[in-house]
Amino acid sequence: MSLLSTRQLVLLVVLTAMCVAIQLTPRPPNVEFTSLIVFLVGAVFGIVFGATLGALAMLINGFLSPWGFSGLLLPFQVIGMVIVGISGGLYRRSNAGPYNAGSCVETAILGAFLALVYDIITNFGIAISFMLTGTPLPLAFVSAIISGALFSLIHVVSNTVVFGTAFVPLTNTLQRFLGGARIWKKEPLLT
Amino acid sequence: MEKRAFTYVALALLVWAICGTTIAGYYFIQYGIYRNEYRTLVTDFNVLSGAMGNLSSIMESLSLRVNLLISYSNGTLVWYNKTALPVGSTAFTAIMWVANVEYKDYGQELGILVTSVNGLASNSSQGWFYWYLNTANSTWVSPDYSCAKYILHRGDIIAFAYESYATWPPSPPT
Repeated sequence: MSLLSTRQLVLLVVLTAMCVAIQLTPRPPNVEFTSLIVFLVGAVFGIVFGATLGALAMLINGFLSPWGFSGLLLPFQVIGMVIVGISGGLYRRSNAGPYNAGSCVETAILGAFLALVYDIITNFGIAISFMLTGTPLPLAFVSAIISGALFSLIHVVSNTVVFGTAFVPLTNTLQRFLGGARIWKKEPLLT
Repeated sequence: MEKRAFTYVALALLVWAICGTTIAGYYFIQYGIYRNEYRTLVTDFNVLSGAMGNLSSIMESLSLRVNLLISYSNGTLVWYNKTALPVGSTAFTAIMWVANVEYKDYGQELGILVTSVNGLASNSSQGWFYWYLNTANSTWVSPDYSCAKYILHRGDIIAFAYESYATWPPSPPT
């Protein structure tokens, strides 16, 4: 990995700070922009940066969230957001062409899918806490999934909208800001 | 390109299927919860209805109903039918219940006398008298004691009438 340029380092720090600030801002339950930023950083700076940002953001959020300390849920939130960061990097690798309306549709679907994956992982964490009270794990997992279904739906729908509308323009802007061409590249900017 | 599109369509359908399944499960569970709550509510309602029925019969046993007539002697007759009163009520408490009454308590054997009903006061030539209807022979009876001493019975028919002192005993209400 090459060294970061000052501009790239500043951009990464600003995005990290923004990610944490947005995550800590009181908001409607399950409407969030963290996964978009993590996915974006993963796509622009690479899998390692995306995954690291996701892990750090959720780690800080787990302790300072306005909803309280995450407790047993914390490692599952971290894993979920790491997957989002990795997905951003993988998406960049899979898409070599310029942006178009199809890219918006793709990222919208990816946003929905990643929200669902994140919710399933965190619900598994909730199921673990149920299991500690004596409930069998499969039953606890199904109970957690079903009881959180409406919140998951909100998360999936909001992520679909956020990813579909914001990801492509934001990446365009970042690419221009970082001096790259306005196209997808196989390799992340920093490697 | 087609494979890529197919992948995303499949991904979207997967998300749709999982979300649809979990939401269906959620509403199925909610349906069960609310059905049980509804059944509990119906059971509670039935229990409460039974208790209210008992309460109603208890209240009936502690009260009585009488028909009360006020005759203003100018042709105006006002009936207060099925007036509910506590058991042990007197003719005086009955008229107090339905009208604005002024009275004078003479104490001892004479007791309370009604001096005004709904603003129509006794004077030197006319005053208020009371009767009860003897249902055995359908005649009005004017007791020779205070209305506060006449204990009411269930189904009694009583009357307060504004009559002249010129004729004695005063005419029963018509």
